[in-house]
Amino acid sequence: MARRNFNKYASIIAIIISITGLIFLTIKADNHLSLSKIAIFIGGAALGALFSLIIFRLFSRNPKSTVFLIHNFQDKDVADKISLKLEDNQIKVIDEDDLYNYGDNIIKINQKAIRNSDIIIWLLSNSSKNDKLIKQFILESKSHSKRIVPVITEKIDHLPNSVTPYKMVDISENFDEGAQKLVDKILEKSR
Amino acid sequence: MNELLLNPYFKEFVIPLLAVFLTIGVKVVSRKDAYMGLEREDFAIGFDLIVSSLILLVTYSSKIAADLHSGQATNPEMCNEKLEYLPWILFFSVFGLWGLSTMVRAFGWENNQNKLRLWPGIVIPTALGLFALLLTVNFIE
Repeated sequence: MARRNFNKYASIIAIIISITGLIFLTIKADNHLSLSKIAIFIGGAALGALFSLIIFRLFSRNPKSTVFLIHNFQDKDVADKISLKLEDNQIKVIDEDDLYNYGDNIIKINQKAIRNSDIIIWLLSNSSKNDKLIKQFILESKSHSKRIVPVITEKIDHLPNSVTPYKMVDISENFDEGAQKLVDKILEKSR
Repeated sequence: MNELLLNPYFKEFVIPLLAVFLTIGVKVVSRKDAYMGLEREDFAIGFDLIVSSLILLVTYSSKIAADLHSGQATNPEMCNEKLEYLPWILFFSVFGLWGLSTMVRAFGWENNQNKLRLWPGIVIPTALGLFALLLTVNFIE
């Protein structure tokens, strides 16, 4: 703790010393730094920032679709694999695991993520099929009229009734084929 | 081309313009296609600018040292004087770079998040980076 505080104050002192030293050397070396020079420099930098703002806003490719990946923590590995596959196809993935921090209100954060997504991907496994929190998020997605795509990640004995109205994608037997089907399913509606 | 490079405005105007534009641009275009939009964090270019100015400074100094050695320097007195200041400038720049990186680590991040704070994480480092580049550009005559 004491060392951390020392580092904090030392960093500020170091910055002040270095700025003072550099200004002192500039004056001593008789390198005139007129106000007009400074103004031109700042103008150049501001214009550079403005150009980048305009150019990259105009020409950056928007994601073809934004999906929210809802899954159980035990399915993290398969969720990561699916994320990679979707991102390779220019689909932006909001993974619920990346949203939370200690002390966050999970329900509020998920509601926001659901609102910001076009499609909800619901990863179904034996461990997640009866997860109450996931079911709550699916109900929330339904109330926002979001498209829900359940993805079966492993052999499941009894699928919950809440899944049956949706067209599912099965990646349990052949991941590559199933993931490609998922990509096609997402993109066919966004075209 | 020579006339363009010799123009006094090139150093003061075009170098910061290109430095800022290219640094932000490279960050944006190197991301995955799905995340290519401009983010607030893309404007955190302070460290890149300080490192660029240090490289510019060392390259310039090695050039004037070579000119002095071969007797081609047009103003040997000025070149000698600049080389005398160089170790101090490098010392203060590297010291400042350490201070800035420690400051960003301590104050620059949102609690428990992988996001930079606006002032201590983005604005102050970028302003100091521009300051370092301004002094370097001014040093290069």
